[in-house]
Amino acid sequence: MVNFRSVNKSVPRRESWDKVTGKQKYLNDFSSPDLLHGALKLSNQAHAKILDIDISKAIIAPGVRKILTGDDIDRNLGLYLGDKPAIAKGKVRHHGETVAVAIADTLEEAENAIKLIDITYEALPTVSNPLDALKDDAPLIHENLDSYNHIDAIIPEPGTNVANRTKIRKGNWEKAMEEAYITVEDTYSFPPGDHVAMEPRVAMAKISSDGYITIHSSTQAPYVVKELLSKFFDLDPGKVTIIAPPVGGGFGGKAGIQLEGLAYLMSKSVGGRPVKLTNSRESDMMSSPGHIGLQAKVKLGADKNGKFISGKYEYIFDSGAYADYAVNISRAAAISCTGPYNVENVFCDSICAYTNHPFATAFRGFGHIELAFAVERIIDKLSKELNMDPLELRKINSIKEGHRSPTNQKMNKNTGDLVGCLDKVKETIDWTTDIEVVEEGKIIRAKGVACLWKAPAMPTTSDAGAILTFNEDGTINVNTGIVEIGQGTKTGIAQIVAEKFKTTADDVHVIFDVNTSVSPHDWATAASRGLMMGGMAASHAADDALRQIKRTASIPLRCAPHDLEVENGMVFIPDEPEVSIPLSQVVHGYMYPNGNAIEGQIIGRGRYISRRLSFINPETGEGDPALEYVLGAQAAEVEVNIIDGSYKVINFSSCMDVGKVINPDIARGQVVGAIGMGIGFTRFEGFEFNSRELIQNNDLRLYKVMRYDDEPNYKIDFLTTPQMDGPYGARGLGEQGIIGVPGAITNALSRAIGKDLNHIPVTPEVLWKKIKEEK
Amino acid sequence: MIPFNFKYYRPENIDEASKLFNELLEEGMDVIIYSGGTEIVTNSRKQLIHPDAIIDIKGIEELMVQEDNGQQLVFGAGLSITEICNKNLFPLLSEMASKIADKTVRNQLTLGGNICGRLPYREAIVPFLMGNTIAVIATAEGLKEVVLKDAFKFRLALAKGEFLVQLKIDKEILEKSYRTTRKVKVTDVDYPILHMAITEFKGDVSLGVAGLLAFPFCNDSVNEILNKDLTIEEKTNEVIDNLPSAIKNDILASKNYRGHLFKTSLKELLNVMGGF
Repeated sequence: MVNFRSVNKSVPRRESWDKVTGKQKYLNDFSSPDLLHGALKLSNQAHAKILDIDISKAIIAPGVRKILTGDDIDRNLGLYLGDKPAIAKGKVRHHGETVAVAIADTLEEAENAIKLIDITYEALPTVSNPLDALKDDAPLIHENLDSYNHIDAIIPEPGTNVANRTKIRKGNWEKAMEEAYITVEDTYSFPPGDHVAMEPRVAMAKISSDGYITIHSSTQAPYVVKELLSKFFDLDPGKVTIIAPPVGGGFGGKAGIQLEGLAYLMSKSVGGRPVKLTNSRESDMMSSPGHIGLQAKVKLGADKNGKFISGKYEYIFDSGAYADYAVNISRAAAISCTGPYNVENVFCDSICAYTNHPFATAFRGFGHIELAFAVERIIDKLSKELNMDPLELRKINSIKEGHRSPTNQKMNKNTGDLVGCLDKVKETIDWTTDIEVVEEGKIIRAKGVACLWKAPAMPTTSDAGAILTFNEDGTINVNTGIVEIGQGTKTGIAQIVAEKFKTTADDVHVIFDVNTSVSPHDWATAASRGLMMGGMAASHAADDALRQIKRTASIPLRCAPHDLEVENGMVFIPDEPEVSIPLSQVVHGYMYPNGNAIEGQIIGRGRYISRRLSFINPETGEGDPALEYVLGAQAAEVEVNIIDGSYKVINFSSCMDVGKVINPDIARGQVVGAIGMGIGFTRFEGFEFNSRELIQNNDLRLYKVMRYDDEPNYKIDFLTTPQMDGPYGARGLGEQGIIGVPGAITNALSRAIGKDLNHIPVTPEVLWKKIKEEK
Repeated sequence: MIPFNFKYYRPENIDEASKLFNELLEEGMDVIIYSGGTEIVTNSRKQLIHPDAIIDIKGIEELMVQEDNGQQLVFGAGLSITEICNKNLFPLLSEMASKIADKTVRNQLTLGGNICGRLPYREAIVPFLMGNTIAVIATAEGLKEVVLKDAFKFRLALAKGEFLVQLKIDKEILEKSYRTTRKVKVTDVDYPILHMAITEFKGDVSLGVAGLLAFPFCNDSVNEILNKDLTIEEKTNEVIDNLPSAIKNDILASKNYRGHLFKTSLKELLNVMGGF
């Protein structure tokens, strides 16, 4: 048993004091005397030609500097697929799309100018869901899909509404399905919705006289923004700096390129003056992207013992009007299409379809909460048909080391213990398939179980870097490209560095703002990879610094560098501990008593790049796209009022194999937060559209999110099968807690009422209607 | 942020407020009586309303009264919901009002704002409709007193230039036993899809409801049915057939679901209260 000094301890999050005392400044708190302000004019149509935009009144309104419309835009932006003009050009494709922006001296003046812009539309027929989008006679959302730039891994189908299609073909699914003892098939769906991060998105851009562009942004992905801005606007990347201060919640919604392109164009239009563009809550929900919707059809075949032998998975995603991250979410769902189960024969078509809904970007779980809803529901359906305990059925099909993923990637020694996770939640939820009657004819309780897995869906070159510098007292500064988004990764990284120096995390200082010109390159603070990749880079940087420290110290201590140890701020020979020197006398170079100095300061450098990831075969999906899989099991207990359909999630258990828990309290906080978000996703979140695809709940009066009194009693556990290439064996754990929640709750509710719930959100009215339905 | 300018007045007494209100209206201004601002601020931010002037009545003594005058319980329109719940002079009101919005909102939201604002739920009026209540209204000619039941049809009828000062309810309401129930779409901090109260005194039953129809009601003909010699099932069915208007159908709940909730809740409350 290793005794850790810093790792596996609940060190309080570094930023917490400022956050809980209201001192934390977010980007919108920033102001400067020459700052101009932007406001957005949003479309009140979901699909319409823009016939005319009359800015004559707005442009002469007080304080107005500039009005920009689609006519001022000459190129598209996009993450993987360049399909989106920063301002709608020619037509609008969703309700709330930006059709004009005003730049004025004050925000009030910009908002007032927006009201004076008159737009004439000609309505076009709309596409209301992804299945309709695939029909032959569906209106085309993007007529010029063939003209858009895209990366090779994304395969749009011009002349249709398909932005990407990912295929998985493993084994012989058709033959296996024919041979199956039993097959079950069903459809599952949910609408697009919003992340509802506490901080709406903000971007502030300025251009210096010599062409240097600085953009402050509430982003999770400053390096992605830098790369894409440079690429799409033909800018010299060395002249583009993105600064990411702490962000008030991302959940994936700030992981791509958001308002930054528009803010740049706005600053450019006013001679490079700084311009700040801040979303209102409503524009954050409508004009900026939200979470994806899904229509899924799943067929599962099993032998008479319940062993899965074939699966057919059709995931049709509602990308909304633009592709953004959605084309990669659909790809991620294909890669993990079976859920954490060993299925040897697999067919999957995962399609990203355009509709006239607000567009979708990354959302916690990234394709996995989506696929898991369908997979976990069909497994419960199978268990019912087979009359088998759904938890036992999951255990016998759990994926293990040596099995192959849907992309035929071998599950290596790092594969977590899913059966162990299932056993743990079985115990903590006090598992039973019985329905408990609390009040005869009125209140009943039931339990549901679901499993989860997630691999980060990211470029094969995903990387991280860390630079360690030192203070006069020997303490350490860590500079990484990981953005603080409320997840606490910086504290975890400080603990990892402290552990390397055998000291407490108090001796490690973290730098909060990320500046792409100063901090080392880092792919993005997304995909639950900050702790693992940033942590590995920091760990390597610590090793590098320790090597340098030992070398410097070895000179005055007159020994070999490898004879030395570092602990508690001292460098010493372990078996002769009086031969020592404090770090403070080493880290900025050693000075002899006569004033001579040697070696100079210590600068630790660490880097990480994902190991042996590959592209996948476009016809079969074969390849090694997954860096690490987190496996886990979750279970819910619900209490249902069968008279009016109202219900509560009263207990929720979760056990994930995370390799190593670096900070128990932060880990628990991440999982509880993720489950809470999943409960909201299952019970009430999602956009409601009218017949013209206009959003009916575009504010927080009507779009409800989780509140404290909706919280269940949480039982959170972790298993620790080490990730050998992770810091102290750790994997990521930020997103995963959400993945099994919709399945666990709907499985519990379906058992409670004896009917299949295949669509979320399940509101009391939905449940009531289902209870009333004839069998 | 409210992106437009408006004139702000804070008169010190009712006469001044009333005079100001009428003068500004005569000048053709869009004027709003303001106290807590929970609707005014949010609707102004979204530019759904554009008042030219607001009259802040928080400083006026009569609007802040909360007392038992011997015969009546008196509530100033400027009292916050939290103040009313904390003092708890009128338990039925406290119970129903404490379900409105969340604590942060209730600290600001006033009785007058809940009753006279733009939102149609007006949950705080229900307990007053269920007793003998006098509404004290400020007019250009001074204060007038009206019987609430007569003055409240779909909302409190206020002529141009009038505003609500107080509600005074006969203390006999305190002798009645009561039960309430509130239903929401999913999560508690939301508008009601049904918020109802039943009171009973010596066998006399009365029903007050918000959220079910487009307006709150406590209707004599409905109450007559409840006091007939019928089974609970029969009473419930007859009440449903004799509601003062159609059941609402909106994004919060369908007409059928609201109807179902009303029916089952009415039966349940009647049962709990002893069947009558």
